[in-house]
Amino acid sequence: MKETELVITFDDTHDAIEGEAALISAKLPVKVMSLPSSIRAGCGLCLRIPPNTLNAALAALSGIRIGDIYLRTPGNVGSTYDCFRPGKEI
Amino acid sequence: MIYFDNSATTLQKPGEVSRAAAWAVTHLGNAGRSFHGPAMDAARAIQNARETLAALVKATDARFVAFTSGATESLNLAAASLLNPGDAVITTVLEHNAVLRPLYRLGCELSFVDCDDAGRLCLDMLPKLLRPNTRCVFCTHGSNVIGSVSNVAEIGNFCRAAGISLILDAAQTLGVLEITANMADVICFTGHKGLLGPQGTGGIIAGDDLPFRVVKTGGTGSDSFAPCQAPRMPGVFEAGTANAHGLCALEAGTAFISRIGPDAIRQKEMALTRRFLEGVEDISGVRVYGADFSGERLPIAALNIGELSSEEAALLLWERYGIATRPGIHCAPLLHRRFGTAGQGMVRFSFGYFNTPEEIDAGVRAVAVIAKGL
Repeated sequence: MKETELVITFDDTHDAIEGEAALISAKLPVKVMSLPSSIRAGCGLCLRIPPNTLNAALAALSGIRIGDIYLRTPGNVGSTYDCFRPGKEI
Repeated sequence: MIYFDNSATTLQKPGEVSRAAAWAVTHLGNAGRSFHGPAMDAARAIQNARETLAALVKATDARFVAFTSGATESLNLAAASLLNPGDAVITTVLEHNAVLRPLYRLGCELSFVDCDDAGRLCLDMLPKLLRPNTRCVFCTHGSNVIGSVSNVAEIGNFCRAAGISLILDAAQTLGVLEITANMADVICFTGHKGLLGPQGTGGIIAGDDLPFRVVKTGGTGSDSFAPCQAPRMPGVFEAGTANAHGLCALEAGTAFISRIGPDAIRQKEMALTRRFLEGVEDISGVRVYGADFSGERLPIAALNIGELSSEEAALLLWERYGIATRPGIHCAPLLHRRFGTAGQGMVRFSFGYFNTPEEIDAGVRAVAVIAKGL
C-alpha cells in the first residue's frame, strides 16, 4: 500500500529551497515535487514529508514562511490532496 | 600582458571560479521549473550564492539578495521600481551612465552634488538640493574613473533625517571595500569586478520594506495564472531563467573573497595603488587625477601624459608594453566635464588582487618612457 505524505506549500521558490535546506539540516526526511495543479500556491515547488515528522518539521521550518499543508493520498489514478492545517492531528 | 583594467572586469580569477562555471554548465537544470535532480541542483546553487553574498554583506536574510545580469540591470530595475516621472532625485557628478541614463529616461528631476579636485563629494550641498518631491539620493559608492569613495555614512544620515531612500551603485566597490547591507536602502552590484565572478552576474541587495513595483516580469515557474509575480524580494527582480551557471561561479569568487578577507585584499590593492601613484607623480608631464589617500579609495589611478589623448596613450601602453588600461570617458561624462577632460579623456589604471609590485613598476616605467618621448 502506498504511504500518505504531507505536502508543504510555499509563497516562493526562495522559501521552498530554504525550507528544504532547513529540513535536511534537521536530519528530517524530505522530498520535492512540482506543485500539483489542484493546489494553488505562490511557489511551483512543494516539499513532501512523512506525516509523523510534522511537528519536528514545523519546528525546523520556524522563521520560514510556509503556505497551506496538504495530505497527499496516493490512489490508483493519481493522488488526492486534502487541505490539512499545521497542528492538526493526523 | 599586464592587466590593469580590473575596474572594467577582473581578468585573473581564482581557479575555483572557472571550475565552478564549467561544472555548472554540464550539471545544472533550470531552477524553479521542475523538481528533478538537475533543476533542484540549480535552485540550490542559486540559494547557495544568495547565502554567500548575504554573509559577505551581513544581510539578515539571504532573501534580501536578488540576482540580475549585472549592475546596469540592477540600477535600471531599482530606478524603475521605486521612482516615477517627475520625482526629484539627488545624484552626483561622479556617476556612471548606468545611474544617469535610467534617471534621465524616467524623467526624474535631477540635482547634482559636485566634487572637489580629489573627487570627494561636496556633501554640504545636500540640504540645499533637497526638495519636497525628493525621493532619494541615488549615487555611486566609488568613482569608476578616479577611485574616490563616497562617504556613505554621511549620505545615509542625511537620507534618514530627510525621510528619503539611499540607492547605492556599488559596481566598483563590492568585494573591494567593506560593505554591509544596512549601509543603504538599495545596493546595486555586479559580479564580474571585485567579486571575481563571471560577467552576466550581479544583483540588488535590499530589505523588504521598500514599496518595490514589479518592472520585469515573465516566467518564474510559480503561480502561473497570476498576471505577474509578487513584489517581494528576491522574486520581484527575478523573472526568466536565472543565470545559475554564472551564479555558481560568482559564489566561488565571493567565497574566495570571504576566505582571504576583504581587509587583506584591500591592503594589498592599496599598496599596489600607492606604489603606482608614488611612481608616476614626479614624472614630468604626467597629470594625475584624484590621488587622494586621506580616506577610503579604490585601487584606481587616472592620469594623462602631456596633451596626448588618452586613447593614444593607452594604445602605446598596449602595443609597446602589453599593458592593458582603459582610456576615454569611462561612461562618466559629468566627471570628465568637472575635471576638464571631456576632450582628452583619462587613462585609467585599475589594479586587482592578482597584480604584483613588479607589474606596477613596469607600468610606471612605461609611463615614464612615453612621457619622456613627448
